[in-house]
Amino acid sequence: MSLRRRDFLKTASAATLSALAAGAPRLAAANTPKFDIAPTADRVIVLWMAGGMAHTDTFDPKRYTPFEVGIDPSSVLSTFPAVETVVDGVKFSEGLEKIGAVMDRGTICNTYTAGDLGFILHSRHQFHWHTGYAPPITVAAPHIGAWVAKTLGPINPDLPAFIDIGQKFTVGEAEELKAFHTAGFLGSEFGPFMIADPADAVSSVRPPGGMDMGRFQDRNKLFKELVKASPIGEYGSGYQQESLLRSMDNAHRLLTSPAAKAFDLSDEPQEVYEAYNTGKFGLGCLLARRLCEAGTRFIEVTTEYEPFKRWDTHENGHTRMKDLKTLIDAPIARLVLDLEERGLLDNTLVILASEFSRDMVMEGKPGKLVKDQVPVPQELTELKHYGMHRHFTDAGSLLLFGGGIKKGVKYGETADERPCRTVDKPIHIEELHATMYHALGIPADHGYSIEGRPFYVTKDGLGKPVTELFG
Amino acid sequence: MKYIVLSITFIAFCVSLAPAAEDGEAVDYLKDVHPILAEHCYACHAGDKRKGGLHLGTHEGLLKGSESGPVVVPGNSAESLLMEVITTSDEDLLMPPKGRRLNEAEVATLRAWIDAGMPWDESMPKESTYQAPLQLQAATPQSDAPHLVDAFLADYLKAQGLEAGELVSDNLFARRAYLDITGLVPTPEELATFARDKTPGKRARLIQTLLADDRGYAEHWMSFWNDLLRNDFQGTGYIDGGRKQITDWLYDSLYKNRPYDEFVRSLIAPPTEASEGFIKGIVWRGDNAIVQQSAMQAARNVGQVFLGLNLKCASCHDSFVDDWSLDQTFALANCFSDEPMELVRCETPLGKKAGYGFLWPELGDVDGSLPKAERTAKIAELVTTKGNGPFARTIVNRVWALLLGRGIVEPLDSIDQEPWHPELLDALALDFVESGYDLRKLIETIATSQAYQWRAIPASEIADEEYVFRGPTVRHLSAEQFYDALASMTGVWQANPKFIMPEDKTPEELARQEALAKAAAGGKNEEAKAGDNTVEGRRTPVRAWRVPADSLSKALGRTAREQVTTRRETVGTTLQALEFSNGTTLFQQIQLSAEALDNGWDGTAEGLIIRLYEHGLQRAPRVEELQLAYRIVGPDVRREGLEDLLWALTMHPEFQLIY
Repeated sequence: MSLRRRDFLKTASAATLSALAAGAPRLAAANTPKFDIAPTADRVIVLWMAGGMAHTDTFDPKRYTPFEVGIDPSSVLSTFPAVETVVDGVKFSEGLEKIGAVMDRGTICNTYTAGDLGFILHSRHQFHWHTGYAPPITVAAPHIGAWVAKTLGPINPDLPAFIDIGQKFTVGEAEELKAFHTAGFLGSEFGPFMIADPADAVSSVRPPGGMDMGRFQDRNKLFKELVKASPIGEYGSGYQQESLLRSMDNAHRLLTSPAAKAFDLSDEPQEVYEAYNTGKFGLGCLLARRLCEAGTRFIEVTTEYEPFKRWDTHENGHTRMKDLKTLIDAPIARLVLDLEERGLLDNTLVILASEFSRDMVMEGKPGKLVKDQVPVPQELTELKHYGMHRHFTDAGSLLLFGGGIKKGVKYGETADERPCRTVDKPIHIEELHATMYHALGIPADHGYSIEGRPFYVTKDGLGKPVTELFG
Repeated sequence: MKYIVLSITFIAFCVSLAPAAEDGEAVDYLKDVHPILAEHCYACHAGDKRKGGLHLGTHEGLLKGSESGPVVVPGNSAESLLMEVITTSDEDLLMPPKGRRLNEAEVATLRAWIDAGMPWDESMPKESTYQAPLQLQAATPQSDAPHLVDAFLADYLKAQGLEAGELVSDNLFARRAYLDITGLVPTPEELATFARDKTPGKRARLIQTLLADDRGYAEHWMSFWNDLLRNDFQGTGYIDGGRKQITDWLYDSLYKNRPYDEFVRSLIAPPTEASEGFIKGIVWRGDNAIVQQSAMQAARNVGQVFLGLNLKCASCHDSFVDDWSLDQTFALANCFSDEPMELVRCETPLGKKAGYGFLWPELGDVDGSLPKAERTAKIAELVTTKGNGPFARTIVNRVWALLLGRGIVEPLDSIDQEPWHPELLDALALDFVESGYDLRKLIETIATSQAYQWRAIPASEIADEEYVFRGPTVRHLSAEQFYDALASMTGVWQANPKFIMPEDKTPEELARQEALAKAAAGGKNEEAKAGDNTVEGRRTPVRAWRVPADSLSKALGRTAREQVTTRRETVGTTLQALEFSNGTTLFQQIQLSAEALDNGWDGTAEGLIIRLYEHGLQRAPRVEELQLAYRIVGPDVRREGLEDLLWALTMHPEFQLIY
């Protein structure tokens, strides 16, 4: 352990220092550090339920109370009946039958316990979930995908190692979203390749503005010829010059590589396309499958965060929940099956998560309540008040598939009466991240030195993987 | 104040107590041993503390022992005094004398480590002989070279056994000078004028002329200061008033060349709301831990930005990498706090009130009973006082690094590290102080030196360790320079500026802006922008700094300014190359540029190609280049051919790099 950590940090820091001093490259992706954890996965897909997905109305149903005028909200734990899954003793909320049918391939855990960040806000909790650190932070914290990209490099060198699907930055709180969609101090090389609209993903690997491939290639040829004919040789062939030319080659390699086909959803048989096409998120899952097959190291697909939209159900939660379940149920189940069929599920860790959960009456968590953001009437008179509208942080659902994760298992327990909190085996972000890194063979105290401060993949290097989750 | 210079530090940060190493696993100094020593011993035996002459912060110190002899025998814990004093039942001998004594696990860890021969780590702190003096030190160069920089460098070269660098051509010099001072590339006409001038001293005069261009200077240097002062049009915190822009004030300050000491005082103790955004920091909605709060941000940012020192570690615990302590950081932060602060170590309140004070008590005290405004004014005074050497050194070093690629001290935010030329650094700093903290004069001093004109060295030929100055480093265009260079070649600038030039603040323009903002607020953003996506809509020379970052400028290194940025990342990356190759931002810019060039050009295709080379690369094309370009552009200037040539030229290393 000591050797690994020390030697690696030494290399890393030397590279960082040289980058600071002279603009030289940091540690190259090819210099994969040697760790002594045997990996069970070599790639990751995060399915991000942006906005706060209520566990009691999705993967952890409790006592069902149908809507009636005049009912007391505190009597409502779930607004849907529970349905059986393929796993004995595990029930899901109605509307998630397809995912329920593939749970023999994965683990359900409802004890994700979000960080105590005070006043509960999507922006801070999303940042915390994706970086392991609570904002604001004195150095730019990298997204977990950037850590993975930096540490392990690309699988297929023609493809970016970290691809993020489905999030626009023209929504409310866009700045807060941008703050964690970044490689931070690791350097932009490892940052997310953003695909806002999966249906149009192919445009990110096509020549711009409708330019045909012939002209595109000619243009690059012209560039190379002009450089060759120029007197730059007289300036000495420095690193900066080479990195410019090399990165142009890399970009053109992606755009002309067979791997670029992975971005083109029109390549899919109509039946498959339609099976996934429940909306942008569904197509995002299809794109994720194609990119995973083509060798992308880290993929995140989001339902897309937009204040008060999708999982951010501050009103009308029950009604909206039906649509949300339709949005995710079929494509996620299909993704798991497709990965399995292609022999990829064994080495792909799929994680479904959200920044926190929701409850009908409780904001925060027992013993640490925060200011209510949504008023809940004494008795329910309108359907729009029927739903999980408040932020709850003491439990939350995670689904884990593949990558060495146990199959057909439920991990941890939550209470069956309000507060439906974690009662056994909580998982915090440090543990979840450490578990993901562990699956990839990366120790939780792997890190780099930045400004004299050691900065690790999990906060202060202290994350502990939940080894019980592995089969 | 004693400074400890660290090579590289990886010391555990806010670690909880590490248990003894597991069976069979080697003890790791960094992970297992250091946290124990840091918690129990460093208060008296590290940093500038040497109780009993014992220093436990370095390997040398540990081996040397105390005034009364060795404290450890590597390989033999039983013979090591250290083990005895931490385990003894004799209260008079017991270490630490106060506080929690070491538990069994900790004792076992230290024992195992000593028995294993005290494996050390080369990367751990080494004591340096260099101590940066607090006051600036005047020195006289041996050389009688007329320019301050060249005189000190002549001594240096002699000592190093090196020759002075070869001077670059007029064209390369002009390209450097224009880009460094106004952020633009010189036009062919400007180049020709400069070439025609055969009188001595013309290079110095060019520098002076460029610096006299108030607007050109201000527009270019805004980006540097925005990075440094973490100021932007958008970002986290603005959503609910947790952040304020200082853009108007900053532009005005640069335009008028406000003296740097006064400039900094206005940022630390803002006389009006216009400059208060910096010291207020970024406050996210919600409950923030003490280390994230405004006062602590103020202390850290004052330290980093103006004094070139890092208080980030010491805002959470006594720093392991230098001598700054938690108490000192809190005392500084407390001066910016509305309420008296309590000390918090790694998120644990210590139940002690923080004091008030500045980092170097020898410069003066801060009376905690004064109201906040007076306390901050006192801090502003102490930061900018003439006795505060790090203040002038830090900005001098930053400007040097910008113009020549690498600082006289590195990293730029550790001004207490050993400079490769301490006398030069202090001479420049003293000159800067004597000039009345004149930033433009500082740039002039550096840029009129011979050294600034030396041939540039590729970064890869520069050794980090044992750095030797052999000339400027090859640099990348910044994102803003890239955009502006292309714009100045073609006359197609940015759309939708977020900053209106003071001279443009006519009632009509303000009304137009208001209408645009209204349209954007009403969800008609696209409509509002549509008119700007034409050549005509983009004739006004709006420089790139005046618009928010986009995917291309970010790929080119423009930072999000969520943290203070003192140096941008300028490595060619694949994501950047993808933006170049198929990003829509550049493609649209190129399309509009080609349209504007095409429509506005009466001459021949050859003439256009030559002009593009002269304006973009500051040289005429070679015959072969002209032929290649002509082949794609064609005799009648084919639009697509022109687009492709423009693209290829902007991708060219000679365009993107400053040689």
